[in-house]
Amino acid sequence: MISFKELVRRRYVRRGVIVFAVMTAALGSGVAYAAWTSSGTGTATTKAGTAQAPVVSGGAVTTGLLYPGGTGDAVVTVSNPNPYPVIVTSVAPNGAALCSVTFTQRSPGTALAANSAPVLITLTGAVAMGANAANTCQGASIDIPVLVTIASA
Amino acid sequence: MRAVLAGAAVLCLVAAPAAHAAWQTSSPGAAKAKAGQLVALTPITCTGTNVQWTAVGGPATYSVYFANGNNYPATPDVVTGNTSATAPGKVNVLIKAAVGTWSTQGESAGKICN
Repeated sequence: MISFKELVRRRYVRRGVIVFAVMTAALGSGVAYAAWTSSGTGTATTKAGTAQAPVVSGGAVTTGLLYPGGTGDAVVTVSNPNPYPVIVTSVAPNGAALCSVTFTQRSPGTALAANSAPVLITLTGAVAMGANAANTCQGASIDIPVLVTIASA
Repeated sequence: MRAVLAGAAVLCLVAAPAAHAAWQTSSPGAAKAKAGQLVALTPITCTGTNVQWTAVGGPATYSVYFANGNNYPATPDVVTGNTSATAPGKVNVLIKAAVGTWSTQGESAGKICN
């Protein structure tokens, strides 16, 4: 049979455990235990790498040719010079193009491996040609200024 | 007691800050696009009274003119997005194709159809 004193002691122990658990949760961290402790001061040095910009160039267009008043495909080639994998998060217009061609921003989400070779990305329906494009634009290969953004995967 | 400890552990995970933030960088460059090119719509052929020609490419509109001699009418006899039309008999055929501001045209080699 448990004495009244023992019951009271157990209740305090239970409350203590609960309070400890809640405080641990509130801090959002684990608690480490060490029997022996010591401390000292000093300076640790580390250096973060610098994110390198993607290497961007055009590519051969084989689909989605442009005609006046219509839409077509754009192609961009992107390589990743960084030692970590990235995702091409955005290809955005970055200036005017010839032949009344306009570009609409795309988010291709293409994954590039670390230090990747150039990867061809086709942006379907991303370009449009104005209905007033000159007759001399027939068959033209058109450069479209874009800004390519990559983010670490 | 175990339930309390388990709940605390879950709260720890939920309250923990995200450990990962993406590094982002951009670079300008050039994407490529290519303009189509209108091809010749000749030869223009006829089977019975059905005149046919080659598609020039793109969303073209074709204006078709028929003439017994060499003088075609000022306005087209047929305007179509297809590559065929019905001729009124044995005639010369002139076809003008347009895609926006781009255009090309072709003429039959003499009178065709019946």
